[in-house]
Amino acid sequence: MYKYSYRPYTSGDENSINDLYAKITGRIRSKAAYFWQWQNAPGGKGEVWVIEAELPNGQKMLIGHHGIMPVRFSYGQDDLLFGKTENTFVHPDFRSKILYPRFERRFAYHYENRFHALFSTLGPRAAIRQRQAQGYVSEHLWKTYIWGLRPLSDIYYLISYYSKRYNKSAEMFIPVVKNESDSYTRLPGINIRCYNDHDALFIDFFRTFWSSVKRSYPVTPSRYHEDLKWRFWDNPYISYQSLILDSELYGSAMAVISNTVPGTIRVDDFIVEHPKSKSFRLLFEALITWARMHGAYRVIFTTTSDSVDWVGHESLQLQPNFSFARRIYDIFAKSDVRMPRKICTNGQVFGITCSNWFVTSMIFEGIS
Amino acid sequence: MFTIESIRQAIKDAGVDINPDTLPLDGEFRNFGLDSLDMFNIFVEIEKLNGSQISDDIIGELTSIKSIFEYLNK
Repeated sequence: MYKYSYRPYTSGDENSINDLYAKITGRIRSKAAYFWQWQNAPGGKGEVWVIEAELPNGQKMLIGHHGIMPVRFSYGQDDLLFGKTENTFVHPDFRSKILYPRFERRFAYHYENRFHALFSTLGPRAAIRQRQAQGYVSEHLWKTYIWGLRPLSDIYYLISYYSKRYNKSAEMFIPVVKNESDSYTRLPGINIRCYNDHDALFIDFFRTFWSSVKRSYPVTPSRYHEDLKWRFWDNPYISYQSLILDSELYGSAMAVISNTVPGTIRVDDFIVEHPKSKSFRLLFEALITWARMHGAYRVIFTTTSDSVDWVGHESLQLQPNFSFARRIYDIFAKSDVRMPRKICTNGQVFGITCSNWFVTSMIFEGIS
Repeated sequence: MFTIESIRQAIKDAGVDINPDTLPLDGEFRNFGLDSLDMFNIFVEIEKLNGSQISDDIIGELTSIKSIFEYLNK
């Protein structure tokens, strides 16, 4: 019989945490990536709790992990701190030996007062069920929008998918996205500037834009310079391109995009100056036009059902869309992937609820 | 003295998706589709019945009605 104990993270644990992470997920995470994720975020150090088993020889082995990443959010003028559940895992040999929910309940008692709200993003059904048992509400669905930018976009996607799967290069068969920095594209009524991670760091627009627009937004992640720097420009996994869209008629917008699948642009974040007018739609259309001009055949944008309700469904019903597969999928497939959320006692005084959030892929870490 | 019936009642009170009256005494809970969250809810009720917490070290060994009965009555 083993003896079990739990404690918060101490320096040095990252090695055994990464070992267990690799065992569970198959992914190797470096120490630098661990510290980026759990120690260096603008919201502060993560809440990291470990479960240990004392082996017959007296040594302790790390068998479980529960983490809460502090993520800065805004609600109108208020700056808040939310906690994101991440890296919940138990060593496979011990899953039937311990009752993990008991441990998580104890951990939550210690950290919940630090945050205004808690949320999870995606995860195995069992983990989502755990959250619901802890009082999280899973009302809102994740929605992924895909636009095919050219005829044959579905074919290009299939080539790209299978070439990646079989580790072959597909670049001679499909369009590729130009990777550039400090570039300027002029569209009718809208100018678009594009910067890579290194150059974006020094652009004043990204220092001031969020402060000037945040009061127009509901509950949403903060986009202050420190948040953008940590989430995108210092990201150890993915390189991003940060775009500024300027329009005299529709105001400004900021977009952050990534290109991890050849020919596909993922819009990881999109913020406009006037979100509740047709400017969201028109500036997003401009972004898609830019993507097509720069070689992409596909654009993806992930958000939640309440985010879409808030900006307006018509904002994302953009044409043309050459992806027939996507249209068929949208008709027949019923997505049931939800985003669990919980308002903590500290958050209730700000009037925030589990609905009416504006959320993008920004709240993932870019780990595919 | 705790009875088998009181343990079956605690399982019912946990609200899990199984009829405890049909559970064999030595049937492993996980073999009947109960996951860790179901077990958590069951042991919340068992601890209420017992009047005290059950140690994490022991709880993994209590995998059937029979093992719970023997533990509570030791």
